[in-house]
This record gives sequence, C-alpha cells and structure tokens, in this order.
Amino acid sequence: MPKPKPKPKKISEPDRSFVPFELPDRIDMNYRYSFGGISPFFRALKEEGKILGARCARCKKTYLPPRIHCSQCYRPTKWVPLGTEGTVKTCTTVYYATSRFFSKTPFVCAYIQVDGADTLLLQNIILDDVTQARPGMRVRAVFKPERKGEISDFYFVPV
Amino acid sequence: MSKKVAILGYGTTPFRARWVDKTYYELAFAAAKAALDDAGLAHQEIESAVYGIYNELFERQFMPDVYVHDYLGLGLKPSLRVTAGGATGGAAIHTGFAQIASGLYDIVLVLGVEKCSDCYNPELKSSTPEVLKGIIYSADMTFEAPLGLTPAASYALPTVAHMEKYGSPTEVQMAKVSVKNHKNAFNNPFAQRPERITIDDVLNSKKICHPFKFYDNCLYSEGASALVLVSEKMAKKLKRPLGWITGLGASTDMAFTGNRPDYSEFGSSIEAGKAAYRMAKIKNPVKALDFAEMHDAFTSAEIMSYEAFGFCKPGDGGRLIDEGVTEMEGSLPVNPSGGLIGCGHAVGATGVMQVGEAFLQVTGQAGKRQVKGARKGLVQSIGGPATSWTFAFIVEG
Repeated sequence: MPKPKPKPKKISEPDRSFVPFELPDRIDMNYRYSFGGISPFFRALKEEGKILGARCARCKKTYLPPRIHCSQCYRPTKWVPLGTEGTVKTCTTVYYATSRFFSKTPFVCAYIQVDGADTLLLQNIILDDVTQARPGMRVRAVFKPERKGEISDFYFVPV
Repeated sequence: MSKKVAILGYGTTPFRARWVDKTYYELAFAAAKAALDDAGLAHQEIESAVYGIYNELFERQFMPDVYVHDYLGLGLKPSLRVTAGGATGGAAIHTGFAQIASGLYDIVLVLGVEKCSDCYNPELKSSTPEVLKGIIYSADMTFEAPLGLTPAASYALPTVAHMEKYGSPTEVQMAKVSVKNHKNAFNNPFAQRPERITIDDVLNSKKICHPFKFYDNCLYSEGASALVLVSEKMAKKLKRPLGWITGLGASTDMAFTGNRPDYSEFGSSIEAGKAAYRMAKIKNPVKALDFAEMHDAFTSAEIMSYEAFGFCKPGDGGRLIDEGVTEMEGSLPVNPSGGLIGCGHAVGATGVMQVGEAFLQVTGQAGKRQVKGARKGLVQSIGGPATSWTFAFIVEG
C-alpha cells in the first residue's frame, strides 16, 4: 500500500509573468421572498410604523427580532406591541463597508434592547458625531416616512 | 468505542491575496498533491474525501466540491462538502475525524480551498468591498444584513461589549497581537503577509470598524490546504511522522448575537474548548499545551479566545499579550504560523492549515517557526456571526 516518502516538493511561487484570461461576470437572482409567520411584524412596520415583539407567556420572554415559536419551550408566541425607546447594549462605527454600503460610511451599528424586549435588535443609530455611540445610551426609534416593510424602515437616534 | 485518528500527511499552497494563475480546483489539486506526497500515498488509495469550501459566490460556482472531486481523479469515491463560515476548515476535519473514528473509512482526504479575489467591483475598482458583500449574504438577510453589517462589525460588537465589561482588551493590547502575528509570519514560507510593524503603526492605521484599525483585521486570502487522516490500524503500518488528534470539541452558539445570554464572550469557544480538553484529558491547558493556533480573524478575537480556552480568567487575556506569554519566546506561543493576520485567511482552507501547522509542530517539521519540544497543541477554528461555530482540536505528536 503506502509507498516510501518522496522528497518534499516545493510548491512553486505564482508565476509573475502569467497573463490570465479574464472576463467580467455576475451571478443574478430574483426573489419574491415571503416573510412567512413573521409577516405581521413587517406589515405593522410598513403600515403603522410600529415595532412588534413576540412573547412567550410560559418563558416570560419577548423576542425581537420576533419568532413565532419560543426556541426554549417550543410553544407558539403571541404578538405584543413594543415601545419605541431602548438602550444600547453594544455598538460600533463602520468606516469601511461592503460594496452596497461603501458610500454610506461612516455609520453606527448597535445591538439595542428595545423597551419590553428580552433579546437585542441590531439597528443603525444616526448621530451628528458617529464616534459618540456608547453602550448604555438611551435611544428612540424614528420611522422613515416612506416604508417598504424592511428592517431599514426605521433607525434610532439618541433620546 | 471511538477509534484513534492520526494525521499522516499535510500539504498546502502558500496563502496569497490572489492566485491569478489558478482556479479553485487547480489550487485544490496543488494542496491534495502535496498532502498525498507527504503521506506517501497515491490518490487512488484515498477512501473518502471531505471538502471544506465556504462561499459559492467566492468560487463563482455552487456545489464546487464535485468539480474538485472530478479534478482530483476521485470519481466514484464517496465525497462530502462541509461549510461553516470561517470555521469551514475545522468543520471539514471534524467530519473527516468522525468518518475514521466511527470505523467507516481508514484513509480520508480533508481538503479546504477558497478563492475570493475574483470578486471585483468595477465601479469601485476594488475586490475588497465585493468580497465583503459576498460574505454578508451569510448574515441574517431579514434583520441584520440590510443594516450594513460587515464581518468586522460582527466581531467589533462583542469586542466593545467585552471592553465595557472588563476594560480590556485595550487597543494597545490588540495592537500587540497584530505586531506578534505579522512578525511570526516571517518564519512561515506559506504566509501571505509577514511585516515588521510597530504598535503605533497599528494604532495609526486606517479606521475600519471601531475599535479595529487596518492592522487589527486578518487578511483575506486564496489558497488550499489538505490533510490525510488515517485510522490507527493504517498508521501502524507506516513508518513516518504522525500527529494524533487526541481531543476534539465542537459548539454552535445562537446565530443572532442578541439572543445570547452573554454577547461579550465566545460561548461556543468556551464549550468546544471544554469538550476538547475533556477528551484529551487536559486539566490545566497552560501547563499541558506547548503552543496554540487560534483564529485571529481580528486581534481582539485572539485575546478573547485566550480567556475562552482557559489560558487565564475572563477579562485577563490582555495581560497574556502584555507579559509576552503568547509570543514565540513565551511559555505558550500563539500562532507561530502568523495566524490569520500574518499567514492569511483562505476561509475553507484556514482550519485545515491551522491543524496542518499543529501537525508540523508536533512532528518537529515546522522549520523556523518550530516551537522547541512541541508535543501538544491546541487549534481553534471559528466562524459565523460573532463566532457561532467553534471547532477545537488537540494535536499531539
């Protein structure tokens, strides 16, 4: 079966004189994405400018982002309206972003505990000075006037 | 009863920002050939192949593993692709280990490969933002990706929480990790970016995502790494340097960071570490381990991982880098290879490279980066939003 060990071979350095044949290309895909059981969250966000949480009565836990089943006890949750204020738990300022957000830097991403929720929601905080976002900061939600039913339909500002 | 699993051979391509002269399957071939040569086996002798490939968008190909399998001439042999974000390589080894430990196969090829720099944004005339875009499809597409999250932000958020809780790691301590790993990379002929930099160079480099500056980030890389894993029965027939995977641990944390009871630490690393130590019968990791290859995707991640793996108590990781414990000259060198910061992060290949580095260390083949008398090392492979997955390995000579 096994043969004697050959001398270790060096993997060659890249050939600097190599001229690749390159073509521009892209992968494209369209969707009609259904939000399934959490559709009411996005409908309330779009149509009423409201944040809904999902409450498990047994575990006394309110999920935001919402989910229609409690991941602890597997029972269905119930929709509950949440407040529009919250507390920043941790945050960062993004200075270098993906292609899609490249021209939008710098911006703040934060995990916020919205009043009434037990989990944390990722959101943007809009500030005059992006270096001033801090854990512990109180923030309130601002809903964009034109809403599509996306999580980016709202953002937070300092109270 | 689980069977023992040995590492018989290791091969890797150098990690580079771009391999313009190789496709993903051509890179895979180079690593497979090197690993087979090292093991003294022909490809026909492989019984099963496990491929670690992270991102379809990077490869510009869905199901890339079947094309690698074809190119390696392994047609009709069983194969399986494993993908687990940054931990893809670790997940592939975990799977290969299970195939041998269960007695299913005696010789398994575990191969990790990744391209990424074919991703290119023609308007920005740059690859990096397009690579990051390709990664962020892995963030939750409903609640998190639409807010401009980046891989760096995903690690910055727990880092800031950790700093808030413990006052560490400080930005200077983080900078020391960058200086160390860039320096260590000089000793690794496969490393992408050895550099002599100072703490000030790190602190003054371009802001990427608070508290990370340019030099706090790992590299993104292309490359392939492969291991030949064998059963004890097979290993005994062969008279060549062997490494043994004596401990293994795996844990997957909540993908939504905001769902974790404590978002200031790497819960999956704590759990995977405990499991790996238990299996390898390690009670005091600082005494038992001679070195560690850790997943320094960002400088703070290395420091927070010292804590997660019990090198010190929570909040005390910064002290280890301050006291030089994890330097090459220290009592527990971390990332002799240069890690992801100095050697590089060719995602699917990274975990395989890390375990391969541990194999070289425990068999005394690590050249200039050899830790003297290294007999036992830890490898940490992590991935997913703010470290969802951790795969941990104890490798012994």
